[in-house]
Amino acid sequence: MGNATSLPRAFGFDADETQWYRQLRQAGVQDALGRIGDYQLLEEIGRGGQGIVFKARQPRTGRHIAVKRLSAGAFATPEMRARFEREIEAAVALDHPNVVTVFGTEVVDGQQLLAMKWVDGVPIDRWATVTPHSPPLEGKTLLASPFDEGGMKAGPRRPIREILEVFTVVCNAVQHAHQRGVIHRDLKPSNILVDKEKRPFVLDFGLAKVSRETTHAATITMTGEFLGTPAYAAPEQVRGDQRSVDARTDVYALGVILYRLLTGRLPFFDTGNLAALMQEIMHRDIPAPSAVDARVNRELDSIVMKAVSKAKDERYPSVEDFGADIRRFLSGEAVLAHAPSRLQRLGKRIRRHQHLVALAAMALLAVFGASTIRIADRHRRPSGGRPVDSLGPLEGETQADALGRQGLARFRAGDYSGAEESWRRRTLLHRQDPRITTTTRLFALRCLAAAVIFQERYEDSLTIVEEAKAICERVYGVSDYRTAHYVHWLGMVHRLLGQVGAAEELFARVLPIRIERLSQMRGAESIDRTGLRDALRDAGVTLAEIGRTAEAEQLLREALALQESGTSGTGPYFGVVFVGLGLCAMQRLDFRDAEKFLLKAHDELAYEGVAYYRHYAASKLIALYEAQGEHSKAGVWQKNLGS
Amino acid sequence: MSMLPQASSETRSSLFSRLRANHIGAWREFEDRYREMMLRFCRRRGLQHFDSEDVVQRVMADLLKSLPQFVYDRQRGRFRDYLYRCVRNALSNWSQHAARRPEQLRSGMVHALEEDSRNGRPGRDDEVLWEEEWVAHHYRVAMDTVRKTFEPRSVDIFDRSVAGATIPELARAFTMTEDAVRKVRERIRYRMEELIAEQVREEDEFGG
Repeated sequence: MGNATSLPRAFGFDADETQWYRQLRQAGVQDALGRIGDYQLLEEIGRGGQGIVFKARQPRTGRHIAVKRLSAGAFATPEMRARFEREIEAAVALDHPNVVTVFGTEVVDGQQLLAMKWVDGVPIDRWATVTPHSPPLEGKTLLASPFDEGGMKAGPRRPIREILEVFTVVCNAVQHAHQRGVIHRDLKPSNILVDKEKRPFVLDFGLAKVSRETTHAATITMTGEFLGTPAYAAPEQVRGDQRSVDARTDVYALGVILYRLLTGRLPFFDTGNLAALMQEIMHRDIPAPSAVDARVNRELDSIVMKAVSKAKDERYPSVEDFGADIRRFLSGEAVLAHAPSRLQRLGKRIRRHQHLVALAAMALLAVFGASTIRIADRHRRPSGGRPVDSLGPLEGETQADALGRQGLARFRAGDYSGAEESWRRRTLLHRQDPRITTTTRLFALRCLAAAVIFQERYEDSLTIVEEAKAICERVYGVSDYRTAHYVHWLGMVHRLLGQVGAAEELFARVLPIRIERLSQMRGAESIDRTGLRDALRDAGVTLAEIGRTAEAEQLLREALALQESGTSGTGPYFGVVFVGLGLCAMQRLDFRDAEKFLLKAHDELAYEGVAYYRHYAASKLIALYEAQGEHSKAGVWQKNLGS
Repeated sequence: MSMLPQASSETRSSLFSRLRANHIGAWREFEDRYREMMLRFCRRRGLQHFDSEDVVQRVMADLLKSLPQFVYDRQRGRFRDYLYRCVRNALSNWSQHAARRPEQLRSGMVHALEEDSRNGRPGRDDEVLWEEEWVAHHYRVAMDTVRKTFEPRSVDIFDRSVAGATIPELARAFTMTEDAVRKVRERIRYRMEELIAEQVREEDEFGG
């Protein structure tokens, strides 16, 4: 191996036509699946973290069945197998018209097999996209590809009532299992098939648990990571807290499924990056379904949102209760779920999602960091010992400057609405004064937007950022790197609003501008160290946003090296880059590196002017520890959060 | 001459760059692309279908852990050689497990693998098999691209050619001149060779 072979020779490029086509024929020949035990394997239907499913024929009876060959396979020990058989007994005992019958398990030629009834249906998400007038469903799959989990085909969805009616039957089936002590743990659309008569069938009860327990832990974890998506996993599962898994874990998964059936999309921003998705599941506020699809009304919103509460205690206590509330909705009765008040929602967000607020702060700082900090700091230290919150202009200070100073003091004190008021007044003054420079005008708008974002009024902040963007477009041009800052920022706000498509589109627009800027900085005859450093940071941040971690990391490292070789080492700049590197490490699933960078970031960001960025690093560390099940460490950081 | 070459090239580049970033989608795509090659190799080494699946699953689990390091370590050589070593290791582990299982028939395959691991070096035949499967793999990927990017009629001519249809048969079937059929076949062959060259280059860049 390893010897250089000429390509034409190795690939037979010089072969005559007949020989060349024979080569292609051989390359495409499929091996027959053959038989296993009594079963004649007909086709592979699907594969996932738990195993591979085949449609098979039993020659003795001639009937078709589904045979699932479990991942544990030949690597399972006899002890594991025995435990598997004990665990699967409960699932085999389930007898419900909407639960796929498990005929039993057996070991054939050393392979652990599960034989199930063959269902001629399609996954429920695919079913939900078909209108009632569509041609009859020609489903041939027992299991959809597990890779379908992330993307639902675009197309008209069935009427909400029809979806809900089928969904309540699913709830009944799951409840039946719960009453017999079987928690599913892996409910997702591909595990719920709907046949031509609109009958849903739930399959794979109990398998998630036994599959996890009977398979070498590392193998299943790793294969599970790339074979499936945890998009339907509850926060407690994502945290790895298996002891707290109960019926409410299935309530959560059903809630996410219903969300998807109603809106056509997942409630999370799934870029395909596992670590990022885990963060989203654990911490990100889910936008109400009505925000995605106007057909969903507030009552239905409240039902779904209750089911997908991050805290188990806030979900329906059972699937039965969940289904009952949907039936109440269908019959026009008052539902039990109530949307939390705005105040409750705000309180919950602050408790659970400090990092999102900090994310907004990161956007501000990553993009405008150094200049904002410098200017802010200058304002923070007024001469003459006057109270920082006083509105009277200091010597040489304009009314607008005084408002800026007052806003900053309020912002520092956590009075974001007060800061907004001051900064809004300053912006109004700027609008009336033609002498105000573009830079000053933009700075004021950035501050104002920050104050609004910190109040989680993301929609409102859009108008302000749009105004700043419009100024840039007018002064610098649409494709200028300074304009790109605001486009990037808009992308982040859209992401906070859960408007994934809009966010991705904006980041995609920003990236070429930032790459171009970086290229200009690199190609400049005389090196503008600060410009290059900022360009590296900006391009790195945008690359990180769109999941191009390795490239992001490379640029951020270069930015770091450039900064280190400079004469002035500024803590906040290092901190920002370290946070970026920490995020990249998280995306690479390198938790040790992520911890190292985030800790360093936290140290570097000790400077009080960037306390909320420091807070961001801390909240990421908490998420990191929680993801690894290191709850005590997470607890310690939780206590220190904001200090 | 060629049709839509850029799209396929971008797809492949993005696979390897996303793989570097440990992207779930890229892992799935990687598995889709390389799984069959590994399975076929295992089957040709004498393993049953399910046993081959086990080995490939183990390789994928190992790769998920090791590949991010691999891409930063230029000393490890070409990707296909690295993948071969991973498959060999998984085969060796499989044989050890299989040998310990009382219910598993200790086939000649198991003995052969045990022999290999005792010798510490795989046989020359293995390398040849792997090389053949690697070539077949690249042909499959290129065929897939051709099927997605050429006009349906050209794809039909190509598929029938692969199935063994002659030029006169195709000319009759498609009411074309033999010369026109020949040109379609030449164009696709040329494009296939281009694609394979690109695929191998990108794979080699990924590795070493």
